[in-house]
Amino acid sequence: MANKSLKKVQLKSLLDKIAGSGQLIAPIQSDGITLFKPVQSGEGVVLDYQNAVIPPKDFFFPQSEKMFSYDTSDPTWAIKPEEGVPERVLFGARPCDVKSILLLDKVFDAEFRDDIYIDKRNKTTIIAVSCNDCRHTCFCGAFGISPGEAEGADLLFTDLGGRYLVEVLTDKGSTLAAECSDLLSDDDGNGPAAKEKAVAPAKEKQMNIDLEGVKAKLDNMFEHPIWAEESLRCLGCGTCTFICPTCHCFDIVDFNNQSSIGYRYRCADSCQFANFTRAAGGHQPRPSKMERIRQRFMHKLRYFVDRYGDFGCVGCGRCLEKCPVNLDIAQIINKVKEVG
Amino acid sequence: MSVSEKSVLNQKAESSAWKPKIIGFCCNWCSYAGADLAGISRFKQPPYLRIIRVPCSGRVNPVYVLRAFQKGADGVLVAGCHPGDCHYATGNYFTRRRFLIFKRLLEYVGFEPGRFQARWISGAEGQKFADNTKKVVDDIKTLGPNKRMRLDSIPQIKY
Amino acid sequence: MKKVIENLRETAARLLQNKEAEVVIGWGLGSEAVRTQPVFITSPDNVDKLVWNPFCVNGLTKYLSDLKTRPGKIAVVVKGCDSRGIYRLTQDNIIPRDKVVVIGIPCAGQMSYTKLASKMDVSGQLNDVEDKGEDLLIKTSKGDFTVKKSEVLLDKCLTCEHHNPVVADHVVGDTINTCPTPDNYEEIKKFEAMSTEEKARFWLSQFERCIRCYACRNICPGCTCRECIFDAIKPDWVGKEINVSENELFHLTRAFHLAGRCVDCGECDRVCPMDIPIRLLNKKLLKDCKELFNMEPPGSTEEGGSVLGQYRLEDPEEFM
Repeated sequence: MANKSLKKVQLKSLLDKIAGSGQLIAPIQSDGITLFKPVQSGEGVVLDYQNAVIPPKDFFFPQSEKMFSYDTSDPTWAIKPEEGVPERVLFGARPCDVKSILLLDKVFDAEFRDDIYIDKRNKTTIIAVSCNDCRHTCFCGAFGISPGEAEGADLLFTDLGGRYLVEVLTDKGSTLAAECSDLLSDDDGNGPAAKEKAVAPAKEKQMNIDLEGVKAKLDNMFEHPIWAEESLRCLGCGTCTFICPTCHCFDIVDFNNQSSIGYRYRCADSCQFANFTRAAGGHQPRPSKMERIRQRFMHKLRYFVDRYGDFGCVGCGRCLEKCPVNLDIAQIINKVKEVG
Repeated sequence: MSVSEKSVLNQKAESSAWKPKIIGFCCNWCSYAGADLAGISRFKQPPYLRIIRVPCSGRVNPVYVLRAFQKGADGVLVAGCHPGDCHYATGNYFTRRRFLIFKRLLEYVGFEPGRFQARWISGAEGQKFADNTKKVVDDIKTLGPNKRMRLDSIPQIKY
Repeated sequence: MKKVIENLRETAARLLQNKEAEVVIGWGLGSEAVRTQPVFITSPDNVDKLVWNPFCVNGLTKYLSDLKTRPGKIAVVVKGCDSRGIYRLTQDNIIPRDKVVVIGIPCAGQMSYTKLASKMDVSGQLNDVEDKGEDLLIKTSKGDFTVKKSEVLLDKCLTCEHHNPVVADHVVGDTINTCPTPDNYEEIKKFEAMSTEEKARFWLSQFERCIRCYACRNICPGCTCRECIFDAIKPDWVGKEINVSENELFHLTRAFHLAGRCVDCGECDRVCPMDIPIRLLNKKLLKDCKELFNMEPPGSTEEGGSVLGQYRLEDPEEFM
């Protein structure tokens, strides 16, 4: 599909227009941190951000969401599924986060089809934005992700200085582009070359992590002492899992206010918590932090590959930055390669 | 009539129909007996205080108070024996420290002063119990319904 | 700084050699220039991993409660603020004092990783740090950077009651003679002075974004319950659902469980991934405990304990 172009000054009008005709989710500054939030207009949307603290995963797989409500006093239990989301546009997803949504698709929209997730996925048009710069913790290149490509997004914006190159990647994207055609013009043909230049710094500056042989090595490292060693400093908090764009484990709980009426919700759970694996009767298959951190790293770098043929990490660098004890997945990858 | 006018009227109707729901944690030995005395003495008091009997005011975990707010209480009262009169000798001294601090914490994070109250009422003070109930109910009526922490009125944003 | 590191390594090696300690918990170089990570040294050959620099922000005392069942003594390196955590653990009977060997390092203040990351390229490996008075010269594999200390100091270090550890079996480094600057709670007073609506708006917006990762609890030397109320399933004191009400219940309860016990090491504030000013709650409780009950800063003396676990007949009376 033909590339479009958007003048930078017009971006706010574009966002206003989208917000005017449906729900718009965009990164904003909220008390000092950048977060994706539903916004009413393009006002306050930040563009020079490097990544939001919480990935946009939250809009497809929220940390906590109602599944259905019930009334046990009714003979049929009156099970009422939750209403779906409105049609909406997610603006500003970075290529790594877009990739993470593709990975979630493999979990929620494959063998098992999760209706709640799929509803959200279908009703969302994703506008990705290429990275002109990166954070010191970025290493998306290790997973074959490019700061200037966003397979899985519907539109891809790239900042070229005075204008945005708008690449139309899907039909959904072309519908949205058609709706905003008064603001978009056709690209003069220089866009793709200019894009390569614009995203070059992000490619060069990011950490260089090589995953060659890591999966094969991990296949035989279940009993390796590295896990015990690295787990010593782990606090057992859930920071890494809750800010991770690919973590998707959840718990299902019923809530009722001591009456017959209640609802069932699911909420993100963390493999770093003891309760995550505690079974009825008190059996605990992962009794210590060693088993739990092994699970996290193995899941990302080994089990996910076994099941879905792709790594379960996108190199967004959130956990590197936020881990209170510097338990750094990039460093773990390097250590795995070094140890015997 | 426009929609907004209707909703204002509805709100007014609702708020006039609103009756405060106040949870009172009363110690078995003093305040609960005080409530009994207020009852058998036929002292008039508003019917909005729902009493939960506890063995000692020191038994009241601050989480109970928060839980009450979550489940829809408009106000919470903790009542026990006068310091020095505790059935268990010292229980209410701990209560005093605990809730002096807790009340300040609640107000620090933006609970209205008066939502949470604590009072010493002995078994002989039926009149004080009735008077205090009136006072708490008046306070809560002035403050209006509590919205803070209520689990049934969390704004649900669909996204 | 070099002398301190040498001293530290020597001390650690001696302790391990003489079996005075089975493990030494200290800081080692991290994956980035201005980060360190906790390291656990069990052999005198590995003491070279121990470092001391202005980026040793992690409090290490909590690990004592993790390792308390390990045979032999545990040596732990502490700064002034962390050292109060030692007394927290011994007062709470989490670990006997004679199982712990405390290596104290006087500390002039630690630098914030987030503040540094906004000022320099932190992605390299640290080669050296030089203290130039007002400035800090940070030599990394990605180049040398000079930063103004005052611009990157951790907020908690602006007011510091104990530059020197309150407890130490071995002190490495010279005593710091700068006058301690106890917090006079100016910031808390500002929050107290806000109107009820302002307070509610501020705190609800903070609680709303909590993701309940429990990092604040897990780093805290005061949070050592065998089963935490937030992990209990029956009764489920706090719902697992992430919403502003349950989050508020979590935050108020967490703070209150530390009322009069919080040693004010500020770690909860540092570890919070969502930048919730958790310390403002702790500080408020510290201030009230001090004003109402004349409490010493918790953890600054061997004796003492929980303020709410004690009482005086002449405590203030407001409930009459």
